[in-house]
Formats: sequence, structure tokens, C-alpha cells
Amino acid sequence: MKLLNIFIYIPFLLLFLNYDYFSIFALILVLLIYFDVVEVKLSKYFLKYIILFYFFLRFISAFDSRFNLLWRYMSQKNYSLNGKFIDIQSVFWNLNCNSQTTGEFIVFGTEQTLVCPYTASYGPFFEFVGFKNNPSILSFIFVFFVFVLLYLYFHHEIKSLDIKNSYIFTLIFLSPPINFLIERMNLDIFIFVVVYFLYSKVDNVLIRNFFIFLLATMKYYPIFLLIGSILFKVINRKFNKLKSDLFFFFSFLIFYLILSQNFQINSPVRPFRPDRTFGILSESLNFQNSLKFDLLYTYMFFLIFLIFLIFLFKNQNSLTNLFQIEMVHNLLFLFILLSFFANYDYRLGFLILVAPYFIKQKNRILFYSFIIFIFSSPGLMHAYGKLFQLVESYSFVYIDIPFYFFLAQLISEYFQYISKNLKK
Amino acid sequence: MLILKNRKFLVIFFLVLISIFVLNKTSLFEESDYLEVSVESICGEYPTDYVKEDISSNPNYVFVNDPNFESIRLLDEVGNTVFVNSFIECEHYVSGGWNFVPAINYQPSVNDPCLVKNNLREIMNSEIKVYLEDLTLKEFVSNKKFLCIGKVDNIINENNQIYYGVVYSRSAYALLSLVVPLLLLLLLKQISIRAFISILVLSQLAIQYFFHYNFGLNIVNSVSFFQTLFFSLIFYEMKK
Repeated sequence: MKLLNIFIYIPFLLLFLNYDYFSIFALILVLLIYFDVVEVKLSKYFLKYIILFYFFLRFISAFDSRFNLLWRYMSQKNYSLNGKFIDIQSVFWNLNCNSQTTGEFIVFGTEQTLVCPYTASYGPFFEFVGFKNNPSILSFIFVFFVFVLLYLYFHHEIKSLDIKNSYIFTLIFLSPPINFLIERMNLDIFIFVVVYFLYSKVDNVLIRNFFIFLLATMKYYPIFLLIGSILFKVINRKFNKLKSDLFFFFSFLIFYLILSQNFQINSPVRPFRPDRTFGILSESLNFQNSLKFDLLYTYMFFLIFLIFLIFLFKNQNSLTNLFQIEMVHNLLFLFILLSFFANYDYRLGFLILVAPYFIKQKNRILFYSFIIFIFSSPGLMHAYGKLFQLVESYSFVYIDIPFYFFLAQLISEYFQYISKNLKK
Repeated sequence: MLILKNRKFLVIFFLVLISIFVLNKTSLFEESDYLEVSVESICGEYPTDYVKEDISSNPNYVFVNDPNFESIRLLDEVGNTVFVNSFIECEHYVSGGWNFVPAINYQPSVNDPCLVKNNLREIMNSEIKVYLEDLTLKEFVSNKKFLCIGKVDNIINENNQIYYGVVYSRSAYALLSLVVPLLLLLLLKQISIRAFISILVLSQLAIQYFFHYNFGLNIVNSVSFFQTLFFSLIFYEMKK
């Protein structure tokens, strides 16, 4: 027993030495702890220091090129880049280009040059808003604040969890989608942090919905939170509280229609590649690219497969009550809708906001699906250029079974939740 | 979870994982720019009247140029070069360790059975670009083609960049790594969960070895591993 208890430190070593093996060890430990085979005997302070140290090393290794190797080792090979927080740099450069017509900028940590005019291909906000800035400096300031907010979130969450669940939560906090998100510092991280503070700290629905509206102009998908909010109130028969949600939702629709008719605005990208995307559309695109399958038929096949799973688990579920909390309801609803589209795995980062609820709930199959899906997205598959450069990293294709199970379980739970509330 | 509560199983499991980790690491140092090949591959076929002389013990031996022999540049394992002008000289040097050719010059014969084609593992380095030549399921099973997985089948020079075509079969991999475990699950009633998990884990390792590690890709394919583990957990719960 004692020997096994030592293993709880291994994931943290791998986190800093070679992240490629982190997810396997972390997942096995989560399961062992879940089944009480391994006992967690450490202090919550240790977990907090680990998170602080992780943020510190991420920041330092991004800032100082002498720590490039550390930067690379803290990411999985399939997405690891020399560039530092490249997504947010491109966002700030986009804002820069909106305020000036010419100029060029070398992305920090790379040799890639961006020139104006430039668009990060996000929502309409980035087509119209602009100000002069130094993207590298602003990115580091942004990252610093994001790290502070993420730490505050982590600190707040583990306060209410026992040591066993705190440990599991810490591993999920360091899991592949969040690590991927931090490495790229995609704008999604900003959206998730804002959404969390909106739901946990802002009671005024008008202000909350206004900010969600604003986030939706940056990256469309936060509008699903408003749809989720509307459904939550309809299911719970809180019709008198619907006004604000409906107002902002229809305002966004009108805003989008006007913009799309008068301007050429960016459509959301459809990412694919099995080792770094999720969503039924991404899965279908993978099969289309790799095996030349027809996109529509493949999509239909996966839909039928999903429906089959929903029916399979329809009568076996234990109701988890996950959907009874508005924030969890809206975030899970967002996940369900996003799952029908194509997304990069870092978008799963928002599931960290609902992770404490998944750890505590009693539906084991839902727990397995969640935990395995999280730790395998993005999943490591190939050699990724260390031994040779594989021209077609797209060549490997697989069906992400835990994803379908997780999605089917959630939809099944959601139907049960709706039917239970409608019968009241 | 019975299997997870078995301490011996867990210790062995972690040891296997650590071994794989170490094995994978050491393979990083196996990079080579040169291929080790046989005398005949470099010097040509042995002449019918060839008699091997004991050259090494004769310090005064002088190699005589053969006008019918086209001069060949030989390499040792670190890339030193020497030119040879006769079969005897060539055979002598090649037997003595000058049996390397630059990887980029390697051209497998079209008629080579795949068994003697080079394994990608032997020639890989970080500059090499590899693309996969996909075998259909039918091709995979016909004429023992499955033995060709991970072998260099083609070399293309495009804009001074060498691309190595390596035999692979996506459909066979998908079938073996996903469909076979699914079929195994149908037999669940006849086998115990412990045996089932063991079979799944071992079959995964074997498939990974055959399709990936065999030619230099990761053996710890976390995706396959997670899927295997997932199936095991789900069916364990369903059986309960």
C-alpha cells in the first residue's frame, strides 16, 4: 500500500519533465484513488504550490528563450511549439491592425512574421475594434492576469473539496485540454474565466447577459450560454425571468444578421485532426480526410451511433442532478451543442468549471467517460518529428468512444432532468 | 475494481509503463544518417571466379584497379569516405566496416520482397520526411503484405527533399485496435473481467508495437490505451 501511495507524486514530476506521459499516469492514479486503492496523504498546500510552480515555470520558460526545452517538455508533442502563447499574440496583433493599415510583427518565440491587414478569424468584435499595442508585451501582461485569475479559481474550488477530490481536481486542472489551452493562450481561456466570474460573482442578470453578448461577438459560441439560460428558465418555469435572456439573444441574432448582410465577416473555422479536436463534425472530417469517407454519411453514422448510445443508457442512468445548478446546466448545454460541431480540444478547458461536480456525483459511467475523455483530449498518437517528420499526421483516425459515451450520458441525463421537471 | 486492487498487477503495470518510457527514450539515440548494407548491395554480385584472399595479414598487399569495375564511394558509420576501384578492394573495405551508404541514396528494388526492404526504424532521423502508403484491408491480408508494415517502399525526391514512403494500413489498424476489442466484448459472458482486461491491454500493446513502435512511432499511444481502459471499465460496470 505504501509503495502505491508514492505514485501520487509521479504525475507532478512528469508534468515538468515530460508531459507526454503525464496523462496516462494521471488517469490511472485518478482511477486508483477513485476506487480507494491509493490513499492521498498530502496537504492542500502542496497542491497549491504545484499549481503556482506550474504557472511560474510556464511564464518563465515563455519569457526566457534559454528555457525553451522546458517549455517544449511541458506540452505534448502533438501540439508543442516554440512560439509562446501564440494565439493571444495574434489576437493583439489583429487589434493593432484594426487601428493601422500597415506594419509587421514577429511572433514572440518564432520566426513567423505577421503583417497588416491581419485577422485572427474570430468574431465580429475583432473586425471593428482596434488599438495600437505591442502584442508581445500585452500578451505577457494578459497571461499574468489570466494566471492570477486561474489560481484564484483553483484556490477557491479546492477549499470546498476534501483532499482526495482536491487531488483529482488538481490533476484535471493540469489535464491535456487545459495545458493545451495555456500553451496556446487561446482567447477561449479569457472567455472561460469571465464566464466563471459572471456566474459565481455577478447576480445582476442584465450585466451577466450583456457580458455574454460581448463574449459572443468575440467567438460566437458563448451565445449558446444564453440559449442554455433560456431553456433552464423554461424547464424550471421561471418565465418571468426570461426577458433579459431573450432580449440579448435576439439582439445578437439581429446584430449578426445585419453584419453578415453588410460586411464580410469570418465564419467559425472547422478544425480537424484526430489528435487535437473533438466534436462530431471534426470526427467526420477526420474520416473524410483520412479514409475518403463521405462527410455527410459519416456525420449521419456518428449521429445514429450517438442516438444508439443514448437509448442504451436511457434506463441505466442514475440521475446526478447536475443540471439543477444554472451554471452547470448552461455550461453542459454549451458542451452538448459544441459537440455537434468541430472544435479544438482546448475548448474543453471550460469543463474544468464543472469538474468539481463530476468528481462528486455518483454515476460511475459518467465519471469514467468524463475523466477518460478529458485525459485523452488531445491524445498522443505519433512520433511527431522527433524521430522523423510524418508528412501526414492526419493519417491516423479513430472513433473517440469516450467522447460519444460522455455526450450520450449527458444528453440522457438532460432528458431525464427535463422529463422530471415537466412532470412536477 | 478487482484488477485495480491487485497490488502485484499494479506494480507490474507501472514497471511495464516505466520500461516502455525508458525504451522509447533510448530509441531517440538510435538516429543514423547511414544505412548498413551487405557486400552485394554495394559492390555487386560476387564474381564467379572470386577467391577471397587474406589481405589483412599481408601489409604489402596492393589493390589493383579493375577497369571493368565502376569506382564506388564507401562510407563508414560516421560518414568518412573512401573510393574503391575493384571488387576485391570493395569487398575488403565493406567487410571491414565500410558498409554504410547514405540513407538518401537507398533505393529499394521494385521486386524486393518486403521482408528485405529497410525498416524505417533503421534509417530515421529528424530530417527525414515520411509519408504513409496505405494498404487496403484486402492488400493487407494478401501475399503476406502485413509483413511490410513499417518498411520503406518508395523514395521520392521532390525539390531536394527526400520523402520516404512507408507501408501502413489505416483500415487494418482501425479494425484491430477498435473492432476486435468490440468483438471481444461480445464474448464477455464467457471470459472473466480480469482475463478480458489483460487481453485488451496486451492486445493493445501488441498492436501498437506492430503498427507503430515497430517503425519508430510511440508505443504509448495514449488514445488507444485510453479507449481500451474505457471499454474495460464500462463493461465491468455493466457486468455488475
